[in-house]
Amino acid sequence: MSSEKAAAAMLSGVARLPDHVVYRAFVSETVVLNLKAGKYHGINPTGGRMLEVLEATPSIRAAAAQLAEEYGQPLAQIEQDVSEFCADLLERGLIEIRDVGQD
Amino acid sequence: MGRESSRRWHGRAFGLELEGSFPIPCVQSKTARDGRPSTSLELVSPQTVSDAWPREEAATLIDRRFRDGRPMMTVERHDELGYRVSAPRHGRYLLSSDGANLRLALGGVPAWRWQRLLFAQVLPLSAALQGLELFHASAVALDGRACAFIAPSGTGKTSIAAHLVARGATLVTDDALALEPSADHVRAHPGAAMASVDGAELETMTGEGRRRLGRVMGRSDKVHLAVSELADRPLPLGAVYLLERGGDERRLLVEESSPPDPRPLLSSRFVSYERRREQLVNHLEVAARVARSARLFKVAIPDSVAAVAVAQAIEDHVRSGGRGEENR
Repeated sequence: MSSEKAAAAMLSGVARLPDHVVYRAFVSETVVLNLKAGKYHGINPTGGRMLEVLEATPSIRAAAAQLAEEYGQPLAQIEQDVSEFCADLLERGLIEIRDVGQD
Repeated sequence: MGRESSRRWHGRAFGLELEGSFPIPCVQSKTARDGRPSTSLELVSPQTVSDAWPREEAATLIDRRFRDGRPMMTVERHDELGYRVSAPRHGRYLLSSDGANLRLALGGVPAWRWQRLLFAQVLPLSAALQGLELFHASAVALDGRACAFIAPSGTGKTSIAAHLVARGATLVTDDALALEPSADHVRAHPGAAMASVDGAELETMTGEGRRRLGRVMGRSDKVHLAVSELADRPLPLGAVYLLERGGDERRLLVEESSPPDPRPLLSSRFVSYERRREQLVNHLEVAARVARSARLFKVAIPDSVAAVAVAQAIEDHVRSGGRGEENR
């Protein structure tokens, strides 16, 4: 699947933290704790904000739209950034991507 | 009811209200209660502890041994009964699963020995089970605030705290620091008025400094002191000093960790062998609160620099409001 198609597929989903993942904001980074693995992950402030918005919005596409407005950046660029961010968290087992309506 | 209540001893340590039929010498006696997490203490016989503990059904969480294989200390957990903490010549303890009830089997052990295990392991575990967060740190009170020292074992946390106390600071805790978030800061709860200090460090203190620190209760690989003065109430945590020995620095260097690095805080859980969800989440939360409300400083200590010099540098740093670097 091309990266554009992968990003489009990602955007139509809902990102949620599994029950075994928690996070807290520190001063200059957000620390994500995987309780199952006992591992801490550090993400930068922009990633921390992305995580907050992803949790609070009904879809990844909606999260990207909100973030684009917040940061005053082109929607297409933010959609790409958010998709890549979600893919990274998914690979690390820190989020789950569900179909809209399964939330 | 009134007479029974009046015979009970009440004290406070590690953020816990303690109640028992006997006083704990190095714990501050308190009469006022404020609804804090509490632990009741009961003296029992060693046989009672043995009979009450189904060893085959318990999981061993800690099994420390001397080089010759002799047991040093064990911590075991039973899903229903709680924890058994024991060390030869230091007593045996049964702690309920919720940390609220403690049975002590002291078997004629000298006070400094059973208190050493009580303060080093049992009461911190009791506090952690009741929602307080324990960091592996020593701490003193300076200018109305708590200053904590975090470092791997052997770096000199206790020595530095002891020198600061000898110079006029007030001890908050020796090795386990109970922290609790409040509205706009993190509160540091006093531990016990006992410190285990390297004998060589005591030799470098003045007579007045040694007197200010406290009286000797016993000796093992360390000198165990009943500290003369302990902070009598929780204090705002003002600063955390992260001590690092060795390294590439040739001079003692104190510099602010800005932005604060969360890693030393995250790796300083005192009750690290208990990894229940609520405890790990609580530790993450408190570490985040510390990073946001207290100042963090890194202290690079060359091997050639003695603890007394580090203590003086830190005292000067605190008194200056934590401004600038200190090079010695």
